[in-house]
Amino acid sequence: MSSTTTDTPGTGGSSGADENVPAGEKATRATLKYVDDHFGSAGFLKRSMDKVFPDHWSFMLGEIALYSFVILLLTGVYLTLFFHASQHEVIYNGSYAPLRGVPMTDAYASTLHISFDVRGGLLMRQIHHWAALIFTTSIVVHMFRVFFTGAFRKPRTINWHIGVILMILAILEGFAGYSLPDDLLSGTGLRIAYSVAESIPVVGTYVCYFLFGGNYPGQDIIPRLFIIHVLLVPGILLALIGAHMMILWHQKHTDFPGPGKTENNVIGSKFYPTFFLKTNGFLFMVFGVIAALGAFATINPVWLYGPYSPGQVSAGSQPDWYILFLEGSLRMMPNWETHIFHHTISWNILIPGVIIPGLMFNLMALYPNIEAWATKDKGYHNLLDRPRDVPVRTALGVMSLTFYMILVIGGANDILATTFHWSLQAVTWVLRVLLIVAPPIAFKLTKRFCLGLQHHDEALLHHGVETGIIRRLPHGEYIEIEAELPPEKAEVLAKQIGYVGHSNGHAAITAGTNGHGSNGHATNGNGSGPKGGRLKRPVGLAETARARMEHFLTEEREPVPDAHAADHADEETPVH
Amino acid sequence: MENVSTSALTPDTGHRSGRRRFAHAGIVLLVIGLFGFLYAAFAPSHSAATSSDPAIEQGRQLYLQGCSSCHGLNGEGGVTAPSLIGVGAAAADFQMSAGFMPLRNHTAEAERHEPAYDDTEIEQISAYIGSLGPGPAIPTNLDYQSAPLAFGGQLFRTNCAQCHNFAGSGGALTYGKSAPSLSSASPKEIYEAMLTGPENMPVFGDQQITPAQKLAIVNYVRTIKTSPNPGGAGLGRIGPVSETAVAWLVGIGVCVVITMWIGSKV
Amino acid sequence: MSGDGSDRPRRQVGRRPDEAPDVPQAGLPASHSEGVVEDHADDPREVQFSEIQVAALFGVGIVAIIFFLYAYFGISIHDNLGQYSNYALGGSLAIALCAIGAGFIVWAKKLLPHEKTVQDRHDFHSPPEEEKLAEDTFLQGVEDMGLARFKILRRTLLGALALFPLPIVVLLRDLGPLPGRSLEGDGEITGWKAGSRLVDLDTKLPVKLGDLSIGGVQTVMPEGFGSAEELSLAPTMLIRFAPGEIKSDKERNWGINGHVAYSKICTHAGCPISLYEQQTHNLLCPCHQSTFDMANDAKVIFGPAARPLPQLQISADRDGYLYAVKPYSQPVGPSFWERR
Repeated sequence: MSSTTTDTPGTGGSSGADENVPAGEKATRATLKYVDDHFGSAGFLKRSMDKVFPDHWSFMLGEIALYSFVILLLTGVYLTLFFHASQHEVIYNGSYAPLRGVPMTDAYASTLHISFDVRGGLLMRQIHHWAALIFTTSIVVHMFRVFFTGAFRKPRTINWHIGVILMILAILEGFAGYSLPDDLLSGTGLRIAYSVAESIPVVGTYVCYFLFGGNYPGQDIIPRLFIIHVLLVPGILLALIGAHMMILWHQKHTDFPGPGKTENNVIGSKFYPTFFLKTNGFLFMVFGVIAALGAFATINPVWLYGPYSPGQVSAGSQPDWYILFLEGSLRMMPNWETHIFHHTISWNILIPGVIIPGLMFNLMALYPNIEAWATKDKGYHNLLDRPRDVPVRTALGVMSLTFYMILVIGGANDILATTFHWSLQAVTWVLRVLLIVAPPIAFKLTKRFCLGLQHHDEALLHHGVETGIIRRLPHGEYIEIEAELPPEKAEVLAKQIGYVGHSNGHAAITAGTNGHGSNGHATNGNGSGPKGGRLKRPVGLAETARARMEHFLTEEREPVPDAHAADHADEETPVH
Repeated sequence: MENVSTSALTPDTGHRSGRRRFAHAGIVLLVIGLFGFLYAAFAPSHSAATSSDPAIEQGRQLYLQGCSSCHGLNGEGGVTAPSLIGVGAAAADFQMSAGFMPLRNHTAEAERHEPAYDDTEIEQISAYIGSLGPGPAIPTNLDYQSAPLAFGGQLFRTNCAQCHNFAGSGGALTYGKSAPSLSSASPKEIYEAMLTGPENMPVFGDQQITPAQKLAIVNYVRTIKTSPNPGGAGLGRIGPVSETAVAWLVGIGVCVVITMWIGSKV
Repeated sequence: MSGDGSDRPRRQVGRRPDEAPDVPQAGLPASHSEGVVEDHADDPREVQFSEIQVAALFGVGIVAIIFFLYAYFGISIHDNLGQYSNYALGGSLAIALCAIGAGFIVWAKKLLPHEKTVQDRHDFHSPPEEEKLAEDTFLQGVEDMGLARFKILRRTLLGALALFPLPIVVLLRDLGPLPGRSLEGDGEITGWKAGSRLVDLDTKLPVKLGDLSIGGVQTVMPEGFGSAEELSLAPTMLIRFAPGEIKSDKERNWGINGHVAYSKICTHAGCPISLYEQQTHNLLCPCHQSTFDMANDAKVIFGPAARPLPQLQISADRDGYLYAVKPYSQPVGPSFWERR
């Protein structure tokens, strides 16, 4: 059953065994045949095993998220066996002495029970929580990769949308889970969430009363969050992760430009056995890293926080990191509130708690559509951009990241103040200013930096590598010897920075690959075949806005030594 | 909650003897203080109070050398330093044994250093300052280990955690001030801090939090400070911020290194 | 761009037979490391060494799993708060998983052929005629159903579909009570009534005038409260000032002998605040750093809170016990739409 095309030596020195062990092979064949007899799955199986995955480390970032989700499901099921999602009051009588005799909710008491009286329970709790942090973190890191390489472009835009929804759901799921133990810190978090919901005009108090079953905290929120946390959101997550993966599988992975790589092919290892072994190994190792964190780094020590009480609070009340940006925006907001017609609009919560995250997530979700609309890019893109080759997009990304990072740092302003002995108020003010000032600066710098790198690449392409060898010419001039780039490197580089088109007749797919320089190229309806003709041409205001945005997004390439470049390109194309 | 709280901790049930002792000490101090006050009133203003107690006299000498330049020759205070009349021996003992006083430099709040005086000297200076006016005396009963631990925890979370954080790791206050970590605070210092309210810390007098309850808080603080972190490194016990750092730097960092290893040729 | 790479073994998979092989196979620059099919580890000694490496990693996994089992039964969860148990269980689990995972990866890297496979991508969109066919079929269905012709049918269908969500929405009605005017009421929701004595949150003992030292702060609740969970808006701070420290007449008049009472629930996001600085009289919220000047009507001097903390008017009875003269005169806690 091993691949019919394999022409490689047997694996692991046991090649001699193949002939005389027909029993195992027979059984395998029988099983596969049995399955095929019922599903007709052989063709699918063969195609799946032969599926090619490009090799680049950054393509495995999403896998970290996938595998930490698997870990979350496994450890989560274990925890539900012991956790009581109840706000019924009990007196703790377990083995953690500093809380013995203290009244608390059953949810908190059962969390203590898991931590101190179930063997391995604390480990499972900690692995679960660390996995949650790694899950959200890896989602974000994965998104960085997808954004900065332009992997969200057609045809993967819908998968980007699914990804954004997955990220938001992961945040909600994390917050729900963080709130379940009903400790002092998570209770404080819930209190803030309640207040944020309360601030929504017109319906706020109704939302709160329905969600919490009355005034805060009530008796209902923990059981409700529990079912949201263990059934509702994980169910949706699972379905969407399935869709995310199936779309990836169907569309095949993107790849960076490279020798022999075109818009029409994938070069890499086959799913089976190479990629299969590697990815399973990676699953184990991600689990191992998270287990190591769970073993050696305390997370969420609820026994120190104490049970929740509306009358108590701890200094340094922070949420988990994925909510920290929200906390930061709440902390940095000036105290605006409007009283109008016997009603109150609390902008001080509404803006940082509802409007800013709403804008952030919507912009993030819609960015691919906005970019495609503005640049009239209807082409398919299977080859990735290098960040430097799309300076404005990269700069926009870094700008948004800067904004986000400052919000996150703002969420920890008191920790910063105590750690570095700064004034809390001063830290907040500095961050307020930075929130406005830093993103545009980051934009400018990043763009400049990208353009500089482009220039460097162009110089490499046109002048070659500086060898450091200085030679004196007969007439006395000193020059440095420049070595030409190896041709295949030059070819890839030329492709990356947008000089060389593809000569293999797939203009439809390559159009617009090379960023926005080749715009006019992309517009002439060659992208999406039949759909091209049906697009309405925007006129008037919308078109003006679009043109402006296009102007903003696209960077005119600064003049380069033309003749030389043309020569060079001409030299290279035949090679292709 | 009630069965925990009312058993041994209310002012009228438990630890009567402790309170009585305290009352006695208070009366004694009051008398001493009054004596000092009367003496000071009648003595020429430039000369400091003297006392028959040699310890107080020793303390006065040390005070004149080390403290009077800021706090005044008679503890009446100065431009940069508060009056010490009536702050009590406990306050002086706290400030010096925790190393906040003498002040090294003028910052938003006093910084903690190695104590500048040895125990005897601190005792003497404190006795002198205690003699300046009525104030809380140095606690004598510090048998905190038998105080109810869990109730101490409840009191800690209501009265202390909001500034000192859930594990006594400290926290930020307004405009550059901060509540210090309680890691290096001795039981006596914790007790005295509650009693006297140093700097911006509120005062938790014995009518509000009884001596027995204070000992319970001390017990809780010392217990969690000396207890291990069952889940591994405590990460400073400051909550999710340090966890964030570990998740990003260690967790995802190691995973990314592994992806690079998998993606590499060798 | 040498030709020596073109004769290396290379496979094309997934190609549909009718398609032209337009992948520039021959032009694949094989001298570049990424394009090479490296037939690796021909040396049998090297292969054997690699096998031993992988086997050793799996062996480590076996040992670690056995140690895990020992640790589960052999190391008490009560020693050192369970730290030893956590270290042993977690450490052995981590070692086992990492070793097995590394085994897989080394196996793939060292013992499997390093081959680069080229696979075609298929077109993402269907051929135009197929697309048109699908569209036509769909529209034909619409036509057959007569959605355009049967007006009454269409309208009643739309009506039925529009109404259908209503039962679902209505079913959610009993999730909780309607807020009504409860939040904006005259402080009833806080549990403070005229004459409620102030009792300590933890000891539940009534507070007497003078119990609190000057510069002290205490969390109090209305007498007879069950638990703080039932009265989340009740927690109140009692603060005692030295004579002359209170700047506001109203604040002084609503207190007694320097004792004043303010809601502990932040007007911003509802965190219980009591980071009180007795010298500056600043009160800081640990959640979002709103800062209030407690000596001056709890006015906001920094941070996102928009309103001062509500003050509870208190007095002392004949025995010196503090009580609320009247409930809070304004809604306590964060703002909401219906708040006047």
